[in-house]
Amino acid sequence: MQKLTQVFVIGGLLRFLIPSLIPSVVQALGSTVELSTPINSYKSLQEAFYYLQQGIDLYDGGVNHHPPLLVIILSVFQSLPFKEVWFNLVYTLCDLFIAWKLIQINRWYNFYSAKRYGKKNERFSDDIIASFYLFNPLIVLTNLAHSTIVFTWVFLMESIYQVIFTGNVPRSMIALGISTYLSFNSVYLLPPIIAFAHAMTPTNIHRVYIEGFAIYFAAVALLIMSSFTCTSSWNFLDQCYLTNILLKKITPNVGLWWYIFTEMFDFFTPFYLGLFNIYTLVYVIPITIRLFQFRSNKKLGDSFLAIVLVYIWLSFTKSYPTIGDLGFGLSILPIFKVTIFPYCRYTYVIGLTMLISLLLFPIFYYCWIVLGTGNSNFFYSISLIWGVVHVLIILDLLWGKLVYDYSLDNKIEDVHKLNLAQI
Amino acid sequence: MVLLTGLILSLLVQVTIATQFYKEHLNLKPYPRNKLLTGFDFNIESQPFELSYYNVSATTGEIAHHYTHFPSSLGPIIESTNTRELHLRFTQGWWDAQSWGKLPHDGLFSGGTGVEVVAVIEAPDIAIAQQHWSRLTKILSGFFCASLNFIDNDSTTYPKHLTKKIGGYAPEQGNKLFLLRAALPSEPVCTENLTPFLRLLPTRGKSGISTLLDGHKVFDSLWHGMSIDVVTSCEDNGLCSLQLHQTINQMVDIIRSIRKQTEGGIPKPTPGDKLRCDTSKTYNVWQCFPLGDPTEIDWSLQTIYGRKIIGSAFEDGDRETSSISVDFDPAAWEVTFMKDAPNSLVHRSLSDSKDVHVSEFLHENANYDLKFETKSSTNVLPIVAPPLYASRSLTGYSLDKGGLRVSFANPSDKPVTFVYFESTPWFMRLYFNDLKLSLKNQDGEADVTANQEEYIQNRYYRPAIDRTRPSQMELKITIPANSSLAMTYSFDKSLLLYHEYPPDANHGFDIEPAVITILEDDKATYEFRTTSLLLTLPTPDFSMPYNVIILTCTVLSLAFGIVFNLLTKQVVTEEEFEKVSANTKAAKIKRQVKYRIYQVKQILGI
Repeated sequence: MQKLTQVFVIGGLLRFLIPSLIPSVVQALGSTVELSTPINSYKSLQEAFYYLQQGIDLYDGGVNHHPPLLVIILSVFQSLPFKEVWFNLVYTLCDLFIAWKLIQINRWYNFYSAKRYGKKNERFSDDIIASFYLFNPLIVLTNLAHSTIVFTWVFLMESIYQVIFTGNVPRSMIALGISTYLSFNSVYLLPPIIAFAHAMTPTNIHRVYIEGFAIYFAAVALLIMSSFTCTSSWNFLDQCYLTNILLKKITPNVGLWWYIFTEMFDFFTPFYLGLFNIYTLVYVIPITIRLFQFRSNKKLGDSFLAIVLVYIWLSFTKSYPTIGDLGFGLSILPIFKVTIFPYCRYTYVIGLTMLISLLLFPIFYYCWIVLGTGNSNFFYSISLIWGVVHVLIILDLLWGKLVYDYSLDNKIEDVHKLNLAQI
Repeated sequence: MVLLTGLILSLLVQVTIATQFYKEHLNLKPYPRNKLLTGFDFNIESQPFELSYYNVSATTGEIAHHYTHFPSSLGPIIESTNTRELHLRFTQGWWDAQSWGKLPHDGLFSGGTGVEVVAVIEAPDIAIAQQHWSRLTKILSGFFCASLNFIDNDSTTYPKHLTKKIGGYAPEQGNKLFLLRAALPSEPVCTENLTPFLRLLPTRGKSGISTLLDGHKVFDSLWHGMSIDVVTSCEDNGLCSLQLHQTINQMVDIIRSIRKQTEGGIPKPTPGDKLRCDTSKTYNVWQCFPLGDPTEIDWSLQTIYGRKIIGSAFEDGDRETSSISVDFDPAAWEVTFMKDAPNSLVHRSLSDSKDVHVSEFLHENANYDLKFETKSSTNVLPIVAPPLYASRSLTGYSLDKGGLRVSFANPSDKPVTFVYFESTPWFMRLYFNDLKLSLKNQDGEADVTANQEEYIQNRYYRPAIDRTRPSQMELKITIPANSSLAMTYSFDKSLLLYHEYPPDANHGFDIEPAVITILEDDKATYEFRTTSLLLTLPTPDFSMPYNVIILTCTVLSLAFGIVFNLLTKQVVTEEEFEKVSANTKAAKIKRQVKYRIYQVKQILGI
């Protein structure tokens, strides 16, 4: 067997066999706060199936926050025999799909950048890229927890893939629209993906923008309208999207929102809600513009990196993040092995900080919730460190990219000898 | 509810036959292990009047005085909120169904722990019904000194199975009747609730059997329940009257009452010579195996209530206004009826008739007492087993999730059908998809989750919405003969906002008791409640608001600053940086200042 096939087979079996043989794994991981939030948990999806079966309005209650079409489509598997196994299969296939797309993107990116920079290419081989995704513990755990964020990733990957390989902006936008429909935060990825499409389509720039925006909004509107016809009420907008924006469901998670709003004085809550939402949005467009591939200088900028950076930024600032969000961002990074990675300086520090916070998350949560020997501050402090990890990753990547750009711009071969600063 | 209404009506029919608007009754029944169940019943009826829908915004004429013995304080409240039925329950303690059997009045007048309000309100739509309900609970809150004002939409439920046939009254054209229910399980019931209760009586607790009702004694019992029921009953001629039925039931520990009378309120260690030792075992100055409670006891109403019944309810009233009855085993008990009038002293034995149920009317202006004597207090009338036993408990040990386990045991030889009503607050996020049933009978225990439809014939579930409404579940369950059914389901606990926690957040939150209504041919025959539950929620650190705001915002601004610098600034080498920074305005000013200082130093010669 080829190495790549081996990786796929092992990665697939890992995702399929573990939950099929030990079904309690899904239950246990599904109620772990680091892996699933009320917005994307499998537990609430199953409760939604129950509502559907009992004829209870899906959104007339505080448990289900999954969009209607997802619930309705997935409920097909619910009616089949061995329904758990079917779900395991679906989740496994989703992850394999994402891994496959990553391989494609890796091939393309390194081919593209070799052409762009006129350098020799020593990219990671396909099997390593696939391993980075399929054996990333954060991704494996998220998948075993059956978090519905996996479906969002599928469509996100599809959206990027379509831009690269078919140059078909409408298809890409439809995929992004579905991804937005599945989880609200994908809307923030629209600017970097449009910019990416701009970079990838050499001609007809205006069409990219007009078509892109129009089709994206049409896709989202269509999905929302069809959801409306399915549920015959607008309640789902409130339950699926407003809950995200207004943080209506307060449960501990790895993000920065939950504790500040738990502790916030009632009077200031609207102000801070506005602030946090603006904060999420604030660097989406600046990052896109900074890494934009302007035609004036063909070598600078990297719109693909902008997408990844914006995703990591969202993972840092969104209201219901999971550790899988960062894991997904990290799994894409090996693609940049040749271009940016050599200029990253803090990988060691970041790795250790991440490892420690990942170890302490469950311990401190257990101390607070089960043992009662700790309190919420313990868990909160780790979520702050988790935030710092994001900041360090963004800092390192951006700086790495800037240094790389400097070397390209000034045609310096060995940039490591230079001491660079910003002005 | 139908039965309840019927029962009240039938009780009241007796009243009207006696052409009386007021009637009171006291029932005493000794229970095993030296317990006594006392039941006070008061029935008051208003004069018939023409009832019309009261519009809050329109200024209608003043409400006529038609109450007679009906409390004029309560009447306008009921009418102005368009309440057609009102049921209030104040209960505390735990009814031990295993040793005490059925609840008094088949449980129809006994609530769950805390306070419970059920009202039938007439209104054109639900929003107006909610307004009426809100006004009603707020007024009642002041009236009964209970925290009923905390009843809000997030604790109000609209029971389905109770709404079927609310008889006796037809709403006006365009109006409907709404049934609303709320419970406050953490409400302590005490003297301040008894005083308004007594003030509803025409006797004000100054004469008749209500003179026994002293707060210290009523609430010093193993279990006690107060109920207030107002029902509108209408005749064919369109005239309606309000009927008020009040009860107090309590389970008294006689030994405790006797001890309190002889030794006072503070328990003391039993002196050596009063110890009751098991003589079949070794006993001496140093050793004593204590015996159980004495069985040869004598006591009277005076022992239990600290006073006698003062006269009949009204001096010139009907002779059947006040009555007293005793249920006992005449072979074992000697019950003496004692009437202590100013010029006569009558002692009459009630055990002579050999009847198990004896009643007496109190119609003279005298002090009444009942004396109970027995050689063997264990000989009491047989306990009637309830049709079903139920217990509900919380499972799980963590603060973020848990489960509920309800177990029902059917002791009888025929299947029992009942409606299980449960309402949980919104911060319990229930997951019904993992509801599990297990059946236990003589063949052993089996998981019957797969064919749950066989046991749960009908289900109504309305999920909770955060901060808006509680969850409401009504299940129609049938349990086969001689089996017990355990039902489990799980829930997640929400984290509340800082200001939503009560001052004693770590104490936990009370979950209201579930109501079980036994049905026979679709008619409610018996009603009882499970115990309330204490749910602990995860709590934030309450001393942290400022720290959290500061720390979180520090991380946010750190990220903001770093990314801002990276995105906006130009990359240069350090040499270039030095050069540029040497030519900034600030650097120039700095250089000049340095030069001036140098010059000054030169002049001063330092």
